[in-house]
Amino acid sequence: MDDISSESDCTTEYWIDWFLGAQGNEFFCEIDDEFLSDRFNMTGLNSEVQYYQYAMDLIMDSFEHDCDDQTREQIERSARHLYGLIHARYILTQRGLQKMFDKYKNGDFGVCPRVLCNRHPVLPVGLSDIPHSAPVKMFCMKCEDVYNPPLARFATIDGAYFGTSFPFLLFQAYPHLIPNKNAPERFVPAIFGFKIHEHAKLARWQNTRRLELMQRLQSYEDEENGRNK
Amino acid sequence: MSNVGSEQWSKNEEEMEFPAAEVMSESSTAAGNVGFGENSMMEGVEKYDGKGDEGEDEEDEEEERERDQEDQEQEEEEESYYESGSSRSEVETWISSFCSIRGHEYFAEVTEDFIEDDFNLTGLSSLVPFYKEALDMILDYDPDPDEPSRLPNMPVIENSAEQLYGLIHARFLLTRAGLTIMAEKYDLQHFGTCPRYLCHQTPVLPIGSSDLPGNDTVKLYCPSCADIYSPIGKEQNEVDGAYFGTSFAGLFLKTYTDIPGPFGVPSVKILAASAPQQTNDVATNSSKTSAAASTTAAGGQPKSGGETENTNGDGNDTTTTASTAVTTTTESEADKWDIYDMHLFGFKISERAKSGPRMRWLRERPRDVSELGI
Repeated sequence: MDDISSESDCTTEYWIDWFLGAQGNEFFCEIDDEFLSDRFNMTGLNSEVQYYQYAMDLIMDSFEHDCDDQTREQIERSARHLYGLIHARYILTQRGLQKMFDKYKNGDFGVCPRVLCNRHPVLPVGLSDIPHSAPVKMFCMKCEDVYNPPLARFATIDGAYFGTSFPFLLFQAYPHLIPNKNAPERFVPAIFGFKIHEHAKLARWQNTRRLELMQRLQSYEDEENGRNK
Repeated sequence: MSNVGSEQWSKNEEEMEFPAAEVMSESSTAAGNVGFGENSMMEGVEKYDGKGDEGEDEEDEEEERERDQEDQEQEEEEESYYESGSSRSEVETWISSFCSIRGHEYFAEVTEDFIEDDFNLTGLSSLVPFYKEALDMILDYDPDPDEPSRLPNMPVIENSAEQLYGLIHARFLLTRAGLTIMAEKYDLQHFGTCPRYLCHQTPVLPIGSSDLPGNDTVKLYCPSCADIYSPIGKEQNEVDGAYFGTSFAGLFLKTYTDIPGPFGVPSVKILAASAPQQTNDVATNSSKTSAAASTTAAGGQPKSGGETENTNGDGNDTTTTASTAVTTTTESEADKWDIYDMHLFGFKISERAKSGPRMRWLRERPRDVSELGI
């Protein structure tokens, strides 16, 4: 499968370019050569990935070994896995965040399926930092919830390739991206125009929770102001 | 009311003969030959390590090809029907063909008696242009051959017929027959599942935000998180919400009260087969209740004392076999609702942070349902 095309690809283009262009890899960004060549960034990965050195060579386009097809396929797979794991580390760096920020602005990750979020863009997030535990999920900052990616091809991407911390670090680094949540809408089902009793009650209960939160936030702010004075 | 509901529910489980499903399986077998080649093509594309643009083009082409094939299949089907009508046991009506169009998976087949009763159509004639012709088309009445055809072109009437059918459909859903059909469809997950990860694939219901056509497209209501979502498919996103109406989802949940809601009823979790240990625990748990082989009934621990029995209303119970260990469990500590917490390097983000949690209330539920005073 991979051997024929990637062998020819290796000579014509960079492995990373091929990887990023492959279907289903739309969420990944390009990792700098600088980051890749720094061995410190790879700490611990050699125990995680089979054929680590070969895979690394393949990513860096310096793979010049002769091996049978089966091994080659194995190395290919290792390289993809390794790239994902490095990617999880890279997107937490300043440059990585910048790249993901650009992709976010482009809407490369899709939009929130929740109707009341009005197609707010989402970010990829992992549910665990350990590989092979859960596929990637989408995080919406507007409703602060995680969703399954809409397309089946994303359901096979490991969540560990993005990590659990990435979206939140992005919002720490770019606080202006945080949407305004002061006037939230709440959906309440109705029958013939009359809101369903229990749901209306729940909505009201949730609203009091929200108001409590607002009050707490206000008190934090007052505290802060008092301290500054 | 709930008694009647569950009775119907169990009845549905027994006889799963559903016309749309029949149509679907039929078309899929008809697609057999072509479909096979298509699949292998798909594999080819996935494995093909081409450049990005090429890959996408391929994909587009693929989709187009798929669509073409489907069109062809449809044509073929129609042709074969006209050629050898006797070979098919059932004559394909306008309604069943409408419901089998791609993107119309949410529609139920409205019974003809319902449409033939003029009372049910009150007021629709003013909403739909070419009302009479459209109605004739829906009911497959042949136009009078003697009458000179002063009708406009067919697409216009076809359009009206679709609109009229949609509006009748919205009314039909609120009847007992309509609710029953939709319950079957819900059971088979024809409407899909909730995209929210922590809803664990709860089946959803179609809902409109307006009862008048042309305002908004159809949305999906999840009973577990009590929120509305956009359908994933492009075709479904073009269906008018008024064809399902604003009241249907609410009425459905009021009728079938055994569907787990966002209240004191314990949240029902579906555990994938990937957790064998947990599954075992669950099995022992649910063995207390009468767990039939096909239906894993999640014995409710009614915290509020409201419900005495909770059968799992998800579509899974019909598909569950002994081998696919899709098991349901009641959450033992029912006061713990699934809310996603934002973590940075393993630490919860504080409320005080600017990027801290502000929307937890949206997914929060009272620990005790009596707090709501229901």
